Amino acid sequence: MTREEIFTTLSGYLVEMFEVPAERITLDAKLFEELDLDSIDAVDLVVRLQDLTGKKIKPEQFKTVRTVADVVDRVHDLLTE
Amino acid sequence: MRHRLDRIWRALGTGLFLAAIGIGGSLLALTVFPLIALVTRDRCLRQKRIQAVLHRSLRLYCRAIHALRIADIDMTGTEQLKLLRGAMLIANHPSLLDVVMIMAAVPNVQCIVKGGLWRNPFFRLTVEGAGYIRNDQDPEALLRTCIETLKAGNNLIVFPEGTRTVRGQPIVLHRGFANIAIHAEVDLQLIRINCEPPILHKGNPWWKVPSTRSKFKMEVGDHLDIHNFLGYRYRSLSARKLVEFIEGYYTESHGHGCIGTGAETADRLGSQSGGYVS
Repeated sequence: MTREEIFTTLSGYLVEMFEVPAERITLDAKLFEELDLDSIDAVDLVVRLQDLTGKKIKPEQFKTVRTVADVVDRVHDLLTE
Repeated sequence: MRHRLDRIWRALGTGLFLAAIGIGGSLLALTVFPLIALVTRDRCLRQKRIQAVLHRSLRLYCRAIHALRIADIDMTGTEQLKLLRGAMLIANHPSLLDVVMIMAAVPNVQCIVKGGLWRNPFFRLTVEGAGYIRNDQDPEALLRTCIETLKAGNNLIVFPEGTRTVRGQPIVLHRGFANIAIHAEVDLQLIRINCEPPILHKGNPWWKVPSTRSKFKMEVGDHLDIHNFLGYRYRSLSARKLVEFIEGYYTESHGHGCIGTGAETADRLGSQSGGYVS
């Protein structure tokens, strides 16, 4: 998957799972402050991303995630590992 | 003159009763709680006994406030709350006395308490002794602790506004309470508290008492079956719908002073269920 594809898929998840308005999803958007996710949402998102990548995601890999771009990077790293 | 004296009395009394919470709680934590711990090996039973002591003490406390004419406290019609087991108690939060009134009305309650109180010499012993849940732990651990206590039959008090209500401002709720309810799959008992004229509200020092005696009224609101909110594809969506519903509930009850008749709620739930994704 390219970064663009990951972004598109992730945007879909954010809209579907957390009712984030699509127009607010940009690479710079902050998940917790701007897109109104909470820490329990983050856990659900990680589970979903595990299904997508087929890889186990360690919680510490996502502890530092702040923006949409951070998530795209992590997923990209996982897929190219 | 009489009016002025009455006001001074209420200001003094308010301070006295605030102090009584800190000092009384600490005294209980130093004497009664250790005694209970000594004779009660079972952790669960020990907690129940401590809860019972707090419940009775706070009942007495509320009666004293009322009897000494520091404020009127009206909790008529809240007796049914005593029957609750393993439910979340959700309330608006006009004053510092809210949690006291709820604990006086419901025997087996747990609450989530600001972590800062564990460093506050006035409250440290009480919150520690009563085994309340700290809010400054890892969110997932907090969620697990809350689910455990609910499953054990305790009722969990949460003020979803996160802090005391500020008058005239729109009601915005944190989502934490909804995450707990959705994950634990427990019902929610809504409670409405009204305090007129306001006292011990946010941003107002305790000694600034209003010119007439405040009247607290605690009312039992709707009992929400959590299953009405579980039909969504994701728990994250269920939690959001629940927050929306309760935000609407308290916004309306603030606007009209009183709301939440069964018919209105059924209406609202009915119109919502059309949007369920299962």
